[in-house]
Amino acid sequence: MGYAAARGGIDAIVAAEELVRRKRDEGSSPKLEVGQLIERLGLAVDRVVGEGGLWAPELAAFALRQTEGDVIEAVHLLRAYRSTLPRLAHGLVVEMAELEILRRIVPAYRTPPGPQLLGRTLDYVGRILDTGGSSKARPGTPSVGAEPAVATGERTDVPRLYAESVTNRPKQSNGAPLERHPGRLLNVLASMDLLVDHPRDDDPEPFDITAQPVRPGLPRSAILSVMARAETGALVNLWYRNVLGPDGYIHEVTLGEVRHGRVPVRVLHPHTERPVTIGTVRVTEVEAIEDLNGPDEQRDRFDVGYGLCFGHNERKAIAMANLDIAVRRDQGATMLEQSVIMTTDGLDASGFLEHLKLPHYVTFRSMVDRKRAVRAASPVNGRARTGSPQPGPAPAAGPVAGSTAGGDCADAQPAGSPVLPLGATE
Amino acid sequence: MTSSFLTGSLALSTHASQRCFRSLLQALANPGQLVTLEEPDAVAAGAAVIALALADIDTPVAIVGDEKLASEVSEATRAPLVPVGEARLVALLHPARQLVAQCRTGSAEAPELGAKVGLACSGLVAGAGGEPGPEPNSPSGVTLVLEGPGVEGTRKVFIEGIEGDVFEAIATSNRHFPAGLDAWLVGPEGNVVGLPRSTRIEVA
Repeated sequence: MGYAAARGGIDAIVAAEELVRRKRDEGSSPKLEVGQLIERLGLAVDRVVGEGGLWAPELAAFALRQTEGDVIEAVHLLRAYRSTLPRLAHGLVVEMAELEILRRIVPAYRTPPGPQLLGRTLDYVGRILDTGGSSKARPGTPSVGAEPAVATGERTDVPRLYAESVTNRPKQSNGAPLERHPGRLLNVLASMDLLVDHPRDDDPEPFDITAQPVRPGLPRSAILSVMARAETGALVNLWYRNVLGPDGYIHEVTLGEVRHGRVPVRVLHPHTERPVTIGTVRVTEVEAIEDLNGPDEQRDRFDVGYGLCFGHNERKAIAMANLDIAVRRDQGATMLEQSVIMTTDGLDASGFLEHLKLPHYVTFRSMVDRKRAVRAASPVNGRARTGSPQPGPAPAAGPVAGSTAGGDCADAQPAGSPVLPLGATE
Repeated sequence: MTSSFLTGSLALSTHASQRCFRSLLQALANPGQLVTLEEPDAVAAGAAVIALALADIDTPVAIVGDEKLASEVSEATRAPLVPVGEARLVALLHPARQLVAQCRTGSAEAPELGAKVGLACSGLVAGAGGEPGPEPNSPSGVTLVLEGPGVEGTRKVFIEGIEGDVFEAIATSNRHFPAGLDAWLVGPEGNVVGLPRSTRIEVA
């Protein structure tokens, strides 16, 4: 029980929590409404939804408010909450052709099947800080895609930003209604016989990363699942260090599809056993085209990586698609698959990191003892190498007392002790 | 939040099953200490409360000794019914040595695959707080002396309705910790005592 050293610290812990609560809940400005978070900080909510692996924007907004905007802590709350709920049904497989696009671009091809629909994006707008708080659109800004929020009657206490009107659709310039289920560039490439074929005649159940531990050597469904709820920054970093950095396992892809839209969720009705749509989720979907150039690869064809995550998070889905194809090309030759599987989960990584703040008095004391033992066992008994026979001033270790965590400091050393004076009082 | 998906007559509400979960966790964290389930529906399920409160659609369960109850619990939770040797949650309404021996224990690499087992008994006497437990005098039961994490010194539990060799079978299944099985003794009126795999059991 090396970490259970919070002796007498309960009062300090409660007081510390109260400090957090007071500043968060009792500031001078009005309390944040959850609806505001969903409506005005929607991308942050989407990150929590995606990294939490649970489609629940309202719960994610509660979590973000509770954690003062700390995304990973909010993800922790969301996953912990989900773990208390029973699974009621399994969703049926959704064909991604059913994705109803809110935004769709095809960077690889000027005239793909269906429209290039910018939707909501600031990709082409100057990054100019707006401190005016004006909610008015800038003059000349086209209103395409600025679809009105329309309540769907599902809930009335939370604004339904994402319940975009289906009836008030923008029209194309020729007056025809916008194609919301466009075909894919990949189909064009396939018809030109330019894609590597990955035929398989079985249909295995996808690997459930929420129920089984993930280890290298798992099927692609596990790797994709891990990335779908991975931390956005972790995926971006892993992608970047592989493209530009020391690892260099992958090269840049061309994006075939970048889509943000809605897909239906269906389950079998418990009584009739018929498929029934119980809602929709918003996802970001990316197809990344890989220009195969390896000596053993089909160099007259392309291969494709796939990215899909909850919410609107293009950065994450693009990194995921690029890493997906990179892992498949790599075939276990490097550490890439292991890096993706073992190091991109935000909750895993931050949990491990945060635990370093817990008391390590006993383990560290043991390390000091080992240093002393090594020194005592050395031929010159260590004295010659220290360079100074007198005890030096106590660096940093000196008076730790005075922290408001009070009783926790029972192990604090008396001031003026010699270097590393870890006494026998632990 | 009661789900319309769970329609069996035994189905617990989400909050009821969460309270049961908390009680069962409390029992495992304090081996040999009496914990009482408060939900009437859970109490009525007897040892099958293990499955009723903890199972969902992804949890294979085995309820041995009452087929009607087994199908009702399966309907209420949507959990699939499987043989004892494949179940994550097991309820033995008439515990027997060979049934316990069939329960999964997982492995050192995957101890989480060890079964959680509810054992029905007709009488259960144990201390409720930090007390060491009573000195029972009925000749028909079994007294266990427990030792290990969560037990200060030793703690005694008196059980009626389960043969002593059942506990020897549990000890055998748990001899390769961390592999093993976690058990609850479930007596009348919602009384529960936990026997996690880390507890050393001696039949007095």
